[in-house]
Amino acid sequence: MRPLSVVRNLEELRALSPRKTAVTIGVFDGVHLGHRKILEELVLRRERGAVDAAWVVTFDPHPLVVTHSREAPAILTTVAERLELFSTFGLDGVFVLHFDEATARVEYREFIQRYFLDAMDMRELVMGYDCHFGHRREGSPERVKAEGAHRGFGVSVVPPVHVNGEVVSSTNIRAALQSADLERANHLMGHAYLVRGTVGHGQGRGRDLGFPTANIAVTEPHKQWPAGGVYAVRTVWRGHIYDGMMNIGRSPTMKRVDHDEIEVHVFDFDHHIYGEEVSVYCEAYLRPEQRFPTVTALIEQLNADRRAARERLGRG
Amino acid sequence: MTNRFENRVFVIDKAAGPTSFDVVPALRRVSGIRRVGHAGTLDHLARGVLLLCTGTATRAVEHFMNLEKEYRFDVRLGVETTTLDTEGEVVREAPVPPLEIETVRAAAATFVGEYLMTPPAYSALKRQGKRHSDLARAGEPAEAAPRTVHIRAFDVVSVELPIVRCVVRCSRGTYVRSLAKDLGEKLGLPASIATLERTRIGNFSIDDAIPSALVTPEHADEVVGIDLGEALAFVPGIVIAERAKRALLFGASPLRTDVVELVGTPTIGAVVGPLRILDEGGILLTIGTRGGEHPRDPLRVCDSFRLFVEAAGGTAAAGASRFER
Repeated sequence: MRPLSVVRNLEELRALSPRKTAVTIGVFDGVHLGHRKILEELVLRRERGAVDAAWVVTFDPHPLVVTHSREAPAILTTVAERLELFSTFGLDGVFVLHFDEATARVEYREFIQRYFLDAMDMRELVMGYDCHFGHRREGSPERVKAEGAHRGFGVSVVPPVHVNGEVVSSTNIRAALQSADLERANHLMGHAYLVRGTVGHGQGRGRDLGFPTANIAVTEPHKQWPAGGVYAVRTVWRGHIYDGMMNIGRSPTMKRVDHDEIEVHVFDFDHHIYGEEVSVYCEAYLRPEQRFPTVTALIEQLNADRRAARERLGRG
Repeated sequence: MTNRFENRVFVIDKAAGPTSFDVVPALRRVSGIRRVGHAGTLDHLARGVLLLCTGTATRAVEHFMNLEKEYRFDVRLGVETTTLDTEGEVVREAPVPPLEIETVRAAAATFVGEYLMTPPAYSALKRQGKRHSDLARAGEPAEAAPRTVHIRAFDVVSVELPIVRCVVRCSRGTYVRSLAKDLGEKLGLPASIATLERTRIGNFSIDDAIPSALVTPEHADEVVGIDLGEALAFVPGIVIAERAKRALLFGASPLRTDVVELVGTPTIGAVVGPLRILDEGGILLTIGTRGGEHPRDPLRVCDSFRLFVEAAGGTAAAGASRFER
């Protein structure tokens, strides 16, 4: 398997000094179907022998969080999540460029020179149709194409992808998630929505009910959470994949906490994973969160949820 | 513990007498597996090949149902019954004049190719949730909508009047009873079937089938199924890179750049129906389709067919470890 290099600053990039590359640039928030198409085009250039390596330049934090911190939208994927999703494409490297006021001021031609040409020996640039980079977002596909003709690198622009007549965009996916329409969000992304977090201690109530849960702490404050409710999920822990179900909300029957929490119950699992990083892939929305009159009624519902989750995960 | 009956396809030679639905519980008893489904009904009077699927293989039933079928059957000329077989009441009778085999062959040949067929009133088709056969028995026979079927070959083997022995190879949805009746009509005679035998579904032949009488706990050793991946070998496939397997598990369809090998198709663009998605070890991961009309459109994985291999791996962890290789 091709190892994926991840570098986080210009020094590391120079040390690695990739040669003869195809590059794409963007936030790739959600790593959705539109992004998948761009990454496919990028890797195709290496597969066909036009270049020797396929590299992605992405940003952390999300540029909008830096430039428009007040009205910045929630983000679909943290850098860790994006890197996890990038790992299946057969890329050679990802350059995670720290985005701050200074980066925001780099004019696009200077950006091309400094990063793409000098540090990455770029021969081909693959851009999404709506990609703009550099100061004031001046590096549009048209301008970058002109620059490429002048400096001798190829530029290709990947058109938008539509699903059922709807253009695939991070904005539409965010809206779908906020309205509890996970199915639509997943369709637009072309994969299950990913939430990465660290396992914290729950109150242990789930264990008493026969449904021990891991409380998942998400450190990224701008992360878009799926809407409250119960989900069928697959959890990745130490490279292994486990089926389970997840509750997002306040556990009204048992706890009545004052803020939303993410609790995952993994089926047939008895490892202690406190403090460890897990990835939770949200496969299907099962039902809204609900308060039950008795604990027995809750347990009955949890059993039904488990059956429904197994069914949705293909084990019914 | 893996059950050797799980996630397999059983080629059964159903005897005349029991219905397809009778064979299902028999296999449940032998295998101890709850999820058993059959691909294509064969009614009680008919003998022949019946495919039973267990476990996740039940999700692939549709692909087997789409296969071409071969039937050997005897047409009885001169008698038409309500059920178009020997069971129903006679509705029409006529004396059968001497007929040359060439005349019957010429009549049969007219059905080869596209053919608009009216399903019999007594069929397993449903109308408003009720089987036509039940409606017909309740005294309100239902004319089902005619449908276009494809007759690949229609051979007349022998004529020993009033019996005409035939072999037909036909598409899904063909009713041999209706074909027999229509053949009679071509000859100006009432007709129904005397015997019916399904000799083949795709490449699954009656010669290799397990007699339904052996599907009992006493003969469990003889009840051997075919691995689902092997049974689906007639479906074109792609082999995908190791790295793409994980993405597949989380619902991401393979990209063109993930395809390392094509199986049974010169290009992905040439695939029109289902597509097997295999790992580099040849293990069936799932079944997908090509995304759209354009040969370059992305591949798509049908949700309902996802993850044969993971389920086949037993526990989630065991399945996962195969993804880790």
